[in-house]
Amino acid sequence: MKATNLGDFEELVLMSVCILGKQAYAVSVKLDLEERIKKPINISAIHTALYRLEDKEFLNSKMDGATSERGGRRKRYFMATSTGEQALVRLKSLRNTMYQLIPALSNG
Amino acid sequence: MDRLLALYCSARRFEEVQGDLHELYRYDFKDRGWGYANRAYLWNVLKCLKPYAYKHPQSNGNHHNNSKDMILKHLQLAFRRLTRQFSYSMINIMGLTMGIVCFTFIYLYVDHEMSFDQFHAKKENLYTTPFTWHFGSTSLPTARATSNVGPMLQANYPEVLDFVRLRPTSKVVKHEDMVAKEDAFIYTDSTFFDLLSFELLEGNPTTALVEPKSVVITENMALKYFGEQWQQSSLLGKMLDLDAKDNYQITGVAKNPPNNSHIKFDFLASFSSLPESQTMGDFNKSAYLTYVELVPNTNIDQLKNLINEDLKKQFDGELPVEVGLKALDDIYLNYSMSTGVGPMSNIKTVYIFAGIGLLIIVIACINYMNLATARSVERAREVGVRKVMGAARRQLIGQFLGESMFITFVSVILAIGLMHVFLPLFNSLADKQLVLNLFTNIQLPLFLFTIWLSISLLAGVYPAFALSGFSIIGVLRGRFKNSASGSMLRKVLVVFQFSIAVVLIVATIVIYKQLSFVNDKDLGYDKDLIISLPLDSQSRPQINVLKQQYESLADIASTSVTGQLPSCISFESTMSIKDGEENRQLMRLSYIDNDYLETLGLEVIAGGEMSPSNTEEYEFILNESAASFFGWTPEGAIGERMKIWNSEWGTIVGVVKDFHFSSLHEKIQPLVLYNSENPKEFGLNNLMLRVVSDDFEQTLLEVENIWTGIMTHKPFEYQFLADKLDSSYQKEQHLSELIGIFSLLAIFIGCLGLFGLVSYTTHQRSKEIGIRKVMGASVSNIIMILSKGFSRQIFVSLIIGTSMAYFIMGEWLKSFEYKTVIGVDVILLATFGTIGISLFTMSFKSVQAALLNPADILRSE
Repeated sequence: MKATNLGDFEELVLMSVCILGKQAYAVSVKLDLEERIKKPINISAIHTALYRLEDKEFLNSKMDGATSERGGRRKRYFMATSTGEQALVRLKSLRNTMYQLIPALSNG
Repeated sequence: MDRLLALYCSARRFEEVQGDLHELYRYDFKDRGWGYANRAYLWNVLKCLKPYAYKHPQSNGNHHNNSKDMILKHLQLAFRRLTRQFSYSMINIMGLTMGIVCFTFIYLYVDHEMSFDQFHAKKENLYTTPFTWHFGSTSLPTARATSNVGPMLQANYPEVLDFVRLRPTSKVVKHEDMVAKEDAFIYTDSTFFDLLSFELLEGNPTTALVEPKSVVITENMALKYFGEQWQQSSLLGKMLDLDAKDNYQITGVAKNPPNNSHIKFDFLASFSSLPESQTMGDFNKSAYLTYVELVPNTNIDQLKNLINEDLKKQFDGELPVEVGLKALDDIYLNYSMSTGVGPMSNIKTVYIFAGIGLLIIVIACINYMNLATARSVERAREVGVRKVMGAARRQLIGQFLGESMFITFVSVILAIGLMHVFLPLFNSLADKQLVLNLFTNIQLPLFLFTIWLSISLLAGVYPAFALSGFSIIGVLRGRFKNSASGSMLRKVLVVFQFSIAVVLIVATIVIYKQLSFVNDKDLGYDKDLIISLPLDSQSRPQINVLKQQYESLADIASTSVTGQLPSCISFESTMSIKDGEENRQLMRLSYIDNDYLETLGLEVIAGGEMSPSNTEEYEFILNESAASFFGWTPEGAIGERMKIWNSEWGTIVGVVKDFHFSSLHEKIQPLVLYNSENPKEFGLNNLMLRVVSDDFEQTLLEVENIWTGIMTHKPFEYQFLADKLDSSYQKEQHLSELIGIFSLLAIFIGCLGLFGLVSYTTHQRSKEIGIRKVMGASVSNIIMILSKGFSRQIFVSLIIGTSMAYFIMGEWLKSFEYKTVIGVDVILLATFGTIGISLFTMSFKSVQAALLNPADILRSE
């Protein structure tokens, strides 16, 4: 299956989840990413990406932490699995390798 | 908004998604105010319409996708139910099987009727040209045109591409030892095979009918005249002897005309052999069935008007004849005139049968519905348990439909078997040669498949919805009763079933009554013990010798030569009592000789003495209607003068009482019987013999011996006048037999259902019966109680059925000018028949129940 592939946006979401650690859920990921890429992101895009990543077993999740802002509803917190972290590492090393092979950029 | 979200969002995702959205709403509300937050929320809800959030109907987490297993399970259950409740299932299956058999037979019949003449490649552009003659105030439509019409249309109208004329006749054909009279002998143009798609096995279709005295024969005739081995050598060039005076050369062997052709022939002879082919022809003799091929997409009405306008000019503004155009594939079903070349039918008959077929299948379906819903009490518990275990209503409906599909499937299979057994019987009843080709033709399997599906649905849908709709709690607490609406519907359906059956019964009785009325009707002459021998033009010199010889026989009372048999005088010509065009009247007429009145036993009112030796002049005998038509009293008519053939004058010498000289569908018309020294050639067609004999076979043998001694050119043939009469009501006879059988079946299927219902209710009420018996009710009391409910329904259906039948059959009887009445006797007979049969059916179970020992029933609790 292509489950091992990581799309561009999915990679960003995955990294954001790793950064946020125990506080990663849809809304926090959205706010975090909007801050970093300076563009509004719709919540549904985040949902899609998170659920996909969960299906691909890069993330797992648990329901917890109802707050009054949410009208008493619980959040789904996400955590990166080891396969998820490995995938990030693999992507990074692939990028690095390729980056160094580009003459103009690596020399400059 | 939350509601919208709840609408599409699956339960699994709902909480978190909604939570996220609400949180965002708070942030937006804080940062940007109320309006923006609302808008953003709405936008977000809409954006969340994404696959991850949908409800998935088939796998919503709790149910697995197990439809295959369920279907197998349902089949298994249906099978168990079938074996466990054998009698109940048998009733259903028998009813449905019989319904399907009838319906399929009727389908085959209707399909066959509809397929007539569809095999002609040029059928869309082929038209026939019926004529309507106008004489004074009377007009006479005929299917046959005059010989000049075909060539005239082709020459004058560019729309008419080609034509073919058919002149049916009969000939005595002889080859070596084989001699027979052939009635399907047609003279036709050489374009025959070009226009009409009949196939030739041997010979060239374009040239076979060009030369004079050439003849094409069919396979059947080849077999008849040249024996089993006719195929071993070519028949082309062999000679056939016709009417002992001509030799025709065989130029082709044709395939037998298909069953579904309205043109049937055994011999086709070239038109060029006829003398009339040499001239252009005139408007005098309409005896030629003409077909024309038109340019595709011709405007028929326009062309018809044009032709008749031109004809009008030709006849100086007066139009004695009108030419019509009738599409070829319309002829068989939609033509009131006989073509004389093959069978004709009527679209109405086809509709009647299609209707009966539908009714029977509906009756069978109603049986299924009634029995299925009546048993709902039993099944209610099952439904309840299934629902508790989590069955969705959809699944229950599927289960019940599956059951009806299973039952219907078994019925269809049985029906296929039965149809093979009963096909010959049906064919002989319907006078058809239908075949069941289940494997060679896709149509019939497809039809059976459609029947299977539609009956399963028709019969299964109502029970499926009714049974699956029970409320769980009511059912499981045991407080379930048959709903009032359900039993009401059942009653209505029973009434409906029996009304149909009653209509069919009454129809059968009325048709039967009318036919026996026709048979017993005093026709005005003695039809019994008259045999008729057909003559032809070459018999003429020998006729007198023949007559004398026959009259010398002790067993023959008298003999008479006539033009047309008294059972069907259809020839018409113009008569007048004054000179001048406007006084011409179209009348039926027939040649008779001196012994006619005596042979037939006609009642003479006035005059009646014909000159002993035929004089030069014509002598006429009128019937009463003719006399009063001209305004004479019977006595006053004697001695009056009349003109026949528009040229010859004659004297009226007698008036006879009206007698039925055509079918009873028709009112008695004015009739002229003429006698003359030199009758036209078509005058001497039949020799009638009145036989007074105890040993009929012996007499017949003597008659034949004399015939073969004198008439060497013509084989001996004879016919009873009474048979000939019967054959003119053959259509009605077939109709009555078929409707009789179908109504029997309808009653039988209806009774099957009734039997099922009664046995079910008695079973349900067995405790009640037991208690009643203990309390002292007699057997007859209990039978009364049990059959009361159904008797009321049957009574209602009797009222509905008889009144409907009264109107329908009244319409049918209108086609007869002389008819019986639908009297009290018919209705009483139908009433008692129906009540008797249904009581008989009900008594099986109710008597059984009433006779049971109450201890047996009551002990079990």
